[in-house]
Amino acid sequence: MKRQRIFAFVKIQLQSLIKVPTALFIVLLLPVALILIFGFAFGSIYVEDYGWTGQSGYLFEFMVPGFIAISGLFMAIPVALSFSEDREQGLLKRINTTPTSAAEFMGSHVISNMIMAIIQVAIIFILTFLMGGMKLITLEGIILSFVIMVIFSLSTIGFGLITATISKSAKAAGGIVWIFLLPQQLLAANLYPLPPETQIVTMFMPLHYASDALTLLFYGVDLSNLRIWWDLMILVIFSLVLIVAGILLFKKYGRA
Amino acid sequence: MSKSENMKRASKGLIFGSDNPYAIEVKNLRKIYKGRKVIEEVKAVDGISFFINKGEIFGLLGPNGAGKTTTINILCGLLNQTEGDAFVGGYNIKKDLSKIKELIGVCPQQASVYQYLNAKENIKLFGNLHLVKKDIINERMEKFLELLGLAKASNRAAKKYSGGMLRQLNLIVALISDPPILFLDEPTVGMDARVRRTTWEFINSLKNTNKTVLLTTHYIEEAEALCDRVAIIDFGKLVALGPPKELIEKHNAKDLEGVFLKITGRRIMEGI
Amino acid sequence: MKKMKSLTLITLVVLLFIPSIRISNAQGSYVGIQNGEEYEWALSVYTENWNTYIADDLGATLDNLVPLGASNLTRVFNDWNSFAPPQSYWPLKVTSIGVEETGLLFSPDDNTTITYMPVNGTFGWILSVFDSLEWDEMWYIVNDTSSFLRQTMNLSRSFSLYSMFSVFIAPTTISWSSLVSDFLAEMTAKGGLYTNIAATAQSNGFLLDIPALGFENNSAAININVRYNSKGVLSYYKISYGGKTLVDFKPGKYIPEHERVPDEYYFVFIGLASILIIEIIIFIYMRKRRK
Repeated sequence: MKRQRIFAFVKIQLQSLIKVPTALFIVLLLPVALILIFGFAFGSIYVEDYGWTGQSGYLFEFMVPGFIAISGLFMAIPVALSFSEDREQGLLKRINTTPTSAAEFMGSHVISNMIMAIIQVAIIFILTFLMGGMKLITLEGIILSFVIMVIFSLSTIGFGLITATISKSAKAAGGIVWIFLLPQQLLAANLYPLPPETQIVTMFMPLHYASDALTLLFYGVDLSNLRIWWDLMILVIFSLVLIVAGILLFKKYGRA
Repeated sequence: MSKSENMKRASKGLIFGSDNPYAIEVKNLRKIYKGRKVIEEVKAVDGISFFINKGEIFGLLGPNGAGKTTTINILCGLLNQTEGDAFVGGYNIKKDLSKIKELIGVCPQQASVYQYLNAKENIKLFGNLHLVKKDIINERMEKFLELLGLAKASNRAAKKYSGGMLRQLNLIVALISDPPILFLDEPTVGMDARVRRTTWEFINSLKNTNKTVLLTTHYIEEAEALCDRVAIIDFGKLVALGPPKELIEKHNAKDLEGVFLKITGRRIMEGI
Repeated sequence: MKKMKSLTLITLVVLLFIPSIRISNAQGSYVGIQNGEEYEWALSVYTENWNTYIADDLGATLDNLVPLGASNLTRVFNDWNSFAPPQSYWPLKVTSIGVEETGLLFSPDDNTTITYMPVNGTFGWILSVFDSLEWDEMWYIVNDTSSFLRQTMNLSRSFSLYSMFSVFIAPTTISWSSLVSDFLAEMTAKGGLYTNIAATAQSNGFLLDIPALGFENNSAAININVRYNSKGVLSYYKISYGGKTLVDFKPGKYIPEHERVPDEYYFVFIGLASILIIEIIIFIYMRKRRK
């Protein structure tokens, strides 16, 4: 694996954040919009004994971990579009005629996605802090939140690849990716209380583990709590499963 | 031997990897796309054999669907052949594809560049993929952009380029690593006459650099203007091979179109 | 110059040690706990094991022989039997340790002057996130074994968990063998059915055993196991009837439902790990096939 190649790809992928409106909106502006809109809408609503936590506080604060997780999930969209467009424009074929290995190409996507995840989480943290949230989370919790979202970003690459494999075009990819996103956002994001029976379904969604761990950290649960580490462990495996599945499927069916 | 040494030797005509005297050698190459029934089989490439000398500009001429792009794709490693052997830079495409990729530059039929990047960013990217040093990338980039008249537009995003400009950028990207072997798949399609001429002059200038060029085209005048030797392909088969002038004289035709007409009974532009 | 250097060095060393110097509040040597310490126990009532106790009406027998009033063992059962064990968690926090006092701590039941250290703290129970109670509490750490025996009302407190709450913290200087022998002497002096109580010292507590019919109405043996840790804090309590545990009380931390690892996680983990292994095998196979 050559660093020069990997960094060259990482550079252009990060450049797409600024130069491609869709990527800019989804990765950077959407989290900002979520925090601002919901912050102003729900920031003054005080709730008691909220959801399964039994804690009392402002409704907006309970939703922040879910927003972080959802923002991370949205990154599957630019990934799906990027792979589909690269395929449509013959770029994948062209890159395949260079000495670039698949590992270098995928490695660059992993790195750039991780960087974007860090940027996203940082933006949300800063905004939430400015809006008066984040009262209970510790410094270690903040660091672990970054780790969780970086790992979660791997699963979004997997979703993106699988979407690009299924889709015949970039336009189709933009629609198909929602098959993976919408159920998770509605059921697994912990934005609002849901009946316990839904937990069985959400356990098959990587967003559940990211959102669950973030929620525990935001409520100031000690890092010695096993559930946080189980969430992280399952998220690691889930992300690996998805990214490997995405690579295998895309190699076999998605390159044409 | 390091990769850069490998490429230097190759560009000097010293092919590393075997005693093969040719830059490219194709032996009985076949590519068959199988359908559910035998009757649905498509023989995209049907037993073609040729060789290309070092420093030669070699043309694959034929109508659309003749198998030209398929042949190039096989030689670049984008497709697996059904039968036959091929050697690029002395390396077998089945066994040493990674070594071949270090020696080749490919200008695909489709203008494959990142639309949201400008010309310079695209060129730098592909230069980096070939591990070319930064200062060398810049030097070559400025030279090629100037030669092809893209210097003024080089800071504009590629999505704002005309079709001809995109194809020129496509070509520069293929050349940025200074590959000893170049595959140009329909390099001037979609270009207007003026831009085409500029591009031809540019490709012709590659003769002085001892590069081996495999060029596919369905433009007769392009083949006649650029190629040292031409292979005419029809329905995946090689129907004629030789220097353009010799083929024209041999078949007593006015041009290569006439040669094709005499051999196949059709015009190249009629397609397959 | 040399003198200045030495002086500076000495000053620095002293300053380094200052944080480790604790200002003593004259804490007795028999007090092992420290201000600010926290403990938590899990209370478990094994409802399915109470049938014989109820059939024998052992509650009435104990009320008669070991009267503990409202703190009797049956009350423990009544309070918690409708939930599954561990029914509740009991956090204790030491908020301040007082100054040693001498007085009639157990008056009027025991008019002997006893030296003790009062301990203030908070105590309570947690059933769930939505149901918990906390109150301020005061405990007294008596200064010797005989005082502790009296504090436990000659170990009768050990016949009910609720009664044990008053003796959560024992002196660290206690001699369990002396405690047991003093206890047995008391039971001998009392005579009657009390002589059927067997007591055994443990390295960190005691065992009480009453054989079947030892209290006349108990068809099964009663066993009590009490242990304290090196700081003098109750570390284990269990009362069994006929070999079946009725109640136990041991260190445990309440983890709210949403902080517990769901059982399903284990299956998800195994499932995903299996899928990942299969994927890796396929990946390696595809690479080999290509070569």
